[in-house]
Amino acid sequence: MAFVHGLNTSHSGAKSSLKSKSLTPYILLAPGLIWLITFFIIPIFSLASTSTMVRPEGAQIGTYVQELRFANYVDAFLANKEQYLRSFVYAAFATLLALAIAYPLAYAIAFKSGKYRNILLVMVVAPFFTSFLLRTIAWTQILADSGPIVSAIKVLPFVDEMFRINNTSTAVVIGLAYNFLPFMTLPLYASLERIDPRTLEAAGDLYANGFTTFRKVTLPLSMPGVVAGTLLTFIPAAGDYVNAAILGNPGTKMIGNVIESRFFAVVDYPTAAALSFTLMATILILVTLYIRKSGTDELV
Amino acid sequence: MTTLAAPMPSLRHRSSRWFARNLIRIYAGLAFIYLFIPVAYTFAFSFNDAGKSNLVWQGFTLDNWKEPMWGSPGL
Repeated sequence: MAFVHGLNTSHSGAKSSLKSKSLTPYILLAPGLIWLITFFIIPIFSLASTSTMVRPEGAQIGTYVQELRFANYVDAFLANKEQYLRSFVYAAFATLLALAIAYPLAYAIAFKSGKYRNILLVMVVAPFFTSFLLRTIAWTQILADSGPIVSAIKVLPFVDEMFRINNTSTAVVIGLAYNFLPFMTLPLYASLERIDPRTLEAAGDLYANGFTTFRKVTLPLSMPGVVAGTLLTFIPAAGDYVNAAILGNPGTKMIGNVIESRFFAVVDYPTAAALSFTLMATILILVTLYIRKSGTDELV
Repeated sequence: MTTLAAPMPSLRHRSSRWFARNLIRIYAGLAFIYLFIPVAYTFAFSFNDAGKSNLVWQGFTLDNWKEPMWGSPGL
């Protein structure tokens, strides 16, 4: 230590190297900061200012002036509370479905795949090399009324003749769970794969059976993956509008669809901006509560 | 402990044991099917000999592949 210190002070360039060292973090942060300011901070302020604007009487469609009308938020929420609530319900169901599918999948890849582990990991992501839209449209055809799945289910004796999946909330949830499955699987895999096999052996040595080992060792140790995976699925799913637009019907509209149509079809920017902010705030609160509750603040 | 002529476990017993041991793998296989259904479906129906509506299987054709591969001289 003393040697390094002496070296630093005795050299002529010590001062400048010290200075550049203290600047290094800022230089490294600069690209990210510039990016965030340009594409996140500025748009967010512009959106915030749009959300309290009002269209003057007799003005052209799409013309708005700032009047700091915060009642926009109340109006926007009250007019769309149904779709708003539905978004969170669908996102929650999709997250649970994705968790139910992804946890055993990640477990199998982490512990039971042997030499095929890497190829299976690629296979988890491979379907997502094709377009998001194309896959969602393919689901409308697979779940179509005369399609293979509905026809197969209709063979069962107790199924109603009118039974359908396409254009229902079930289809939207299936689509959401499908489209965000890798975001669930990969964090789960990462946390399961990191588990020291010796902890599982120790559980076995202490006469824990397979189920107890899973409940007391594997599951708690994989909780960071569960939290990360559910967040990465829930957050985009709550704001998604593609699945509800393609797989749903007018009665399954989510808040993303409302925002999208307010922006592009109705050209009602203030309502769309107010809804975006309400959505963002709600997600933020839910995520904070969730992380608190799951007690993994220090792990995420 | 073991009796001398230990009877071979019945086929049903063995298959159920195999099933229990591989349950997680079977589940993962089903999950992979779920993941690949839309891709496989899209690929299969790219060979469908249908016009505009590609909903019902009309017969096998390679015509749909002509356009992207040889149909656009500009590429």
